[in-house]
Formats: sequence, structure tokens, C-alpha cells
Amino acid sequence: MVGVLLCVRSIGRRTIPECNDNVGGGGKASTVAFPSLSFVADRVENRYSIGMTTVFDLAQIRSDFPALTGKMRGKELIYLDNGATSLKPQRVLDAVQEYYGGYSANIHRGVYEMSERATAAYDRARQSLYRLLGVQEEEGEIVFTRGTTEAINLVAYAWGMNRLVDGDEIVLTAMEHHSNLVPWQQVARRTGATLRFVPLTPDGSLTRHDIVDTIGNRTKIVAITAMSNVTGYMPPLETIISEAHRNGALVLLDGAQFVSHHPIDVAQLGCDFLAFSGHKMCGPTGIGALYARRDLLEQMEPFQFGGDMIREVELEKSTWANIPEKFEAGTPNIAGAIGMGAAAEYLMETGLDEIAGHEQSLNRYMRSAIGELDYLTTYGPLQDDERGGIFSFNLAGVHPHDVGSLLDQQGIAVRTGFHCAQPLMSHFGITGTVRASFYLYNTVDEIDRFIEALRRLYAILQ
Amino acid sequence: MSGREQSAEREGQAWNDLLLSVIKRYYNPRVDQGIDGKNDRSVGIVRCRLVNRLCGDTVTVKERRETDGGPERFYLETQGCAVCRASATLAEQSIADLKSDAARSLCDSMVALINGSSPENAFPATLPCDTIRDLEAFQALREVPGRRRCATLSWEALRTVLAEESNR
Repeated sequence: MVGVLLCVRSIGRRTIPECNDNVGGGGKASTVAFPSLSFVADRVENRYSIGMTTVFDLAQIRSDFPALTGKMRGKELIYLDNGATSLKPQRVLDAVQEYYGGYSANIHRGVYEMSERATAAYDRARQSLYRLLGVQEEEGEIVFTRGTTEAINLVAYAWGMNRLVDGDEIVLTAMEHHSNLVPWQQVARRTGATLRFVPLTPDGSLTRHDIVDTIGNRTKIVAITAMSNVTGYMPPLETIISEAHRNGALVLLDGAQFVSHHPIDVAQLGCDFLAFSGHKMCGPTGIGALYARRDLLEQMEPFQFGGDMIREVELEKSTWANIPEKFEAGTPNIAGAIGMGAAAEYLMETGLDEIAGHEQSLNRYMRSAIGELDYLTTYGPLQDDERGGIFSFNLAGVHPHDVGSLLDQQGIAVRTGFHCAQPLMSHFGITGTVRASFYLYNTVDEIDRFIEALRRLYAILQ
Repeated sequence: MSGREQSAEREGQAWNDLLLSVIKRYYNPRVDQGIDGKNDRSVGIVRCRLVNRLCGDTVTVKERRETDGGPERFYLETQGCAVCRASATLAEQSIADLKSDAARSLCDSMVALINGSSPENAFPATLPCDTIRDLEAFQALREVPGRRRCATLSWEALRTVLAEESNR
């Protein structure tokens, strides 16, 4: 039997079993009770241990997600498009339904019980995100946004447009999602700041040398993904943050792909901004959040203006509310926030360590399985400790859309195209890929069926 | 099975049939593109280039005179999936012998048909039955909105060029 051991990347305060392939043992690897591939593949036994005490009950987890009982094109659904959005557990659906069905009043300033209940639920959702990210209230704050894109735009407009001047540098990479590239292009255009890019290696990763070489004393902000939405590559955040701060620059992390899959502690990590979305972490669409250092938010001008974000309004001038309300103009997405809070609670109860461990085991299995398909090219580094549960690939001579549609016919949902990352596609010299991305409810059995589907469809094309 | 489910199943089957037919045509054996393979698509004047913003696929309409001295013709060059290429080939083939007004009308009809609405005009009577059958097969894309643009791109590009022609 081939042992599969956890090799989870740890970001933050939570203690994660550190381990390796354990071939011959050694190192700091701890022996973690974890299933062999054949055990994981067992269709009947779905419970297995991660770490010394926790049981990851896959059957129970799958039963939490109603969509998994559905069919697609008449076939049992295999959902491998988690990089685009996750499915939603019943608890989140219930939380949203309870709000709309039971107490759907507006928040703040309502002097009746139903509004107070809504306000309390909205505030509890923010508290859940504090716990999810390890936010120390005296140090940082959570601002609700429409999603990662709006959170990044908030920083670009409220900080970048007001603080950057000609000669300043914004450091990015070519692997960024368009939402962490286009806003900075606009900031650069309007302020005269310059965009600089940490060079990518041929496999789409970063080297310490290039990071140190690109970040300099003119750098004012480093805006970088914590996990590529195309390759699953996770840059060395500690190195990047350390180097940026050494040069007096701020760091914004695009956490859209990372936060929902890995434990993170912003206080320990030391990032200045972290943008993420609710819908990729089992929450509703149309809601997201920005974590930011409290002192930065207090110095920043509001991003949007109107109701709720003011302290006092006169005909000719106004003053602003305290944070976070200063950045939450208008009636917010109350149901979305409540749903996102419920999602955060669900993930914490399930365990981010355990989710990351489960996905790591799926990664290893997937990597092994696709390695047998010599007509398949993958993109991104393959080292387990550098990547999350996203696989981008192409079949030789076959357009990604055609692969996606043939998989769709077999009930398998993947994403195809350039994944809002055209510069990264250019780096790889391609126009698009097929992307399969995992989450906590995916199984080895699904990977087997996915691989079999790839074999079948490629045979059709011969 | 309810009537709605039966209808959905029929449409799903139509899409499956279309997908497999274009896949079979373009991957087995693999062909670059085009009707007859005799035309060099690298030459010609670029008249229009459209990009599918969902995936980056492109369709380029080129104009050039045949080597035998015949009239100028439009050729479609694609970088895209099988549906995109099939649609381009069919578009190029279908308008080849049509007058400008009829060609524009056909472009309008195909964009409407693919997007799930009823074309205002019937297909030109001069088109061969096999071609009409192939054109009608594309209405299966009403089942898969995400792939409609793959097929409409060529017709929209041609429509743009033909409209320019009529304004000259």
C-alpha cells in the first residue's frame, strides 16, 4: 500500500501536521494517520483520520451539499469547477432563507426588534470572519464588499489613487487574475506610478532572487495572489511580505482562491490587505470582504459615498462614520453577509487544516493519475507544497472548449478558457486551458471517473 | 417524464449530436479548416477580426481573389474550437454563391437561430438541402448558451464586412 501523508502548507496560527512523502521517513515529518490511495478510493468507507484526533467524514460532508445530489446532462454530477465558485452547504442556504423569511429588515438605526435582530446577525457574520482569519480587532478590520474584485478596487481607489505619485512602483506578477491587474493599470495611468512585474519561471512560479530583485525602495505596494486561479501555485508569501515591508511597501493579497482552502492568520502573516470572496468559500455570490490594517483604513478616504457611511451631513459638506461603516456605503448585502458568516462557521467547524489536507491528498492522487496520460500537458509547478487543488491542462491538439463540452456530456463540470488570466496564458504560449479544481466534497472516486472520461473523449478524437 | 423534461432531453440530444458531428469532422482526421483545403488562408486583405471575449478565440475575415482569376471572395480564418471552426466553414461555404443582400440576410438568420430566436427570413432557396440541414443543426446551441458565441462569431464577422460592402 502506498502511504499518503499530509503535506499541508501552513499560513497562520493553526498548527498543521508537517509531513512529506515519508519515503524512508526522516525530516520533521510526522506520521499522520491517513488513508492509502486504495483506502481513499473505497466507495463504501468514507471516514478517515487526519491528524491525531480529527475525523474527516466525507460522506457527511457530501450530504451537507444539496447540489451534489443533482444530475447534469442526465448523469451524476461531478463538480470540479470550485475555482470558479463552490457549492453551498444546507447551513448557508438555511441562514439566507431564515433572514429573508423571518427577519429581513434593514440593519442599523432600526428601533424595532426585527431590525435589531438583522443588525446582530450582520455583525455576527463579521465576527465569524474575524475568527476565520485570526483578525485582532485592535489591529485590523473586515469591510464587506461585493467580492474580491470590489475589495481590490477599494484599495486601488481609496489608497492607490490618493497616495501614489509619479515614480512610485506597484509590484505585481503576470499570473494575477485580471481583477488584481486591471485596477492597478488604472491607478498607474492616473497617478503616473509604474507597474513592475516579478518575472515568472517557465512553470509559472517565482524565485526568491526575482522577488528581491523586483521589490525596491520605490515600491509602494505589492499586490499578489496567494494562490493562482490557473495553476494553483502558492507564492512564498512570507518572503514577499518580508521583502515588501523591508522596503516600506504595503502588501495586498488576492485571497480569492486561498482563503477557502487553507488556514490563514493575518496577524501572524502580516499582510496589510487581504481580499476574498464569499462564493468561493461555500457562501453566497455577491458578497466578499476586505481585511485591512485598522490604521490604514482610518487614513484612507471612503471609496463610495452615500447613506450609512456618514457621521454628519450638512448641505455643503459631510463627515464620515468610523470604520468599517466608512467603507460600506448604502444598504449592504445583508443576506449575503449572513450567508458568508454561516459559511465561515461551517468551514471552521469542518476544519481548514482538514480541508487542506483532504485537497492535498486529492492533488497527489490527481497528479499521479494524469501522469499516465502522455497526451496531457499540465501548467504550473507540481511540487505538492507549492500548489493548491487546481489543475490546468490541455490535451494535445484539442481545444479546451471541446474538452469541456465533452466532459459536460458526461456530467463533469470543469472550466475552460483563459480564466481571467490572459497574461499568464501568454506566458505559457497558449490561449486557454481546461481547469479542474477541487474542494472539500470531492473524492478520489470522482477523480477516477474524470480520468476515465478524459481517456474516453481523447479516444473519440483519434 | 414531464413534457418539459422531454423537451429538455430532446434539446440535449440535439446538442450532443451537433457536438459529436463537429468533433468528428475536425479531429478525426484533423483538418486545419476550410471547405476544400486548397486555399492559402495566410494571404488576403483582413476585413474584420472578432474576438470571443469569453475564451479568446478569434475569427478573421479575409478578402482575396482566387488564383484562377475568379471574383474576390471572403475567407474565414479561425483560431478556435470545433464549433467555432465548423460554423466558420459553413458560413464561408454558404455565402460563397449568394448575392450580398441574401448573404447578409443569412447572417442575420443564423445569429438569430443560434441565439434561440426565430429568424425573420427563410434560408435562401438556392442553398443545397444538405447545407440547410447543417445550418439548422446549429439551433441546438440554444441548449448551451456558453457555446453560442463560438458559433455566432463567424456570422457576425461576415455580417460586419457585408454591411461595409453595401455602404461602399
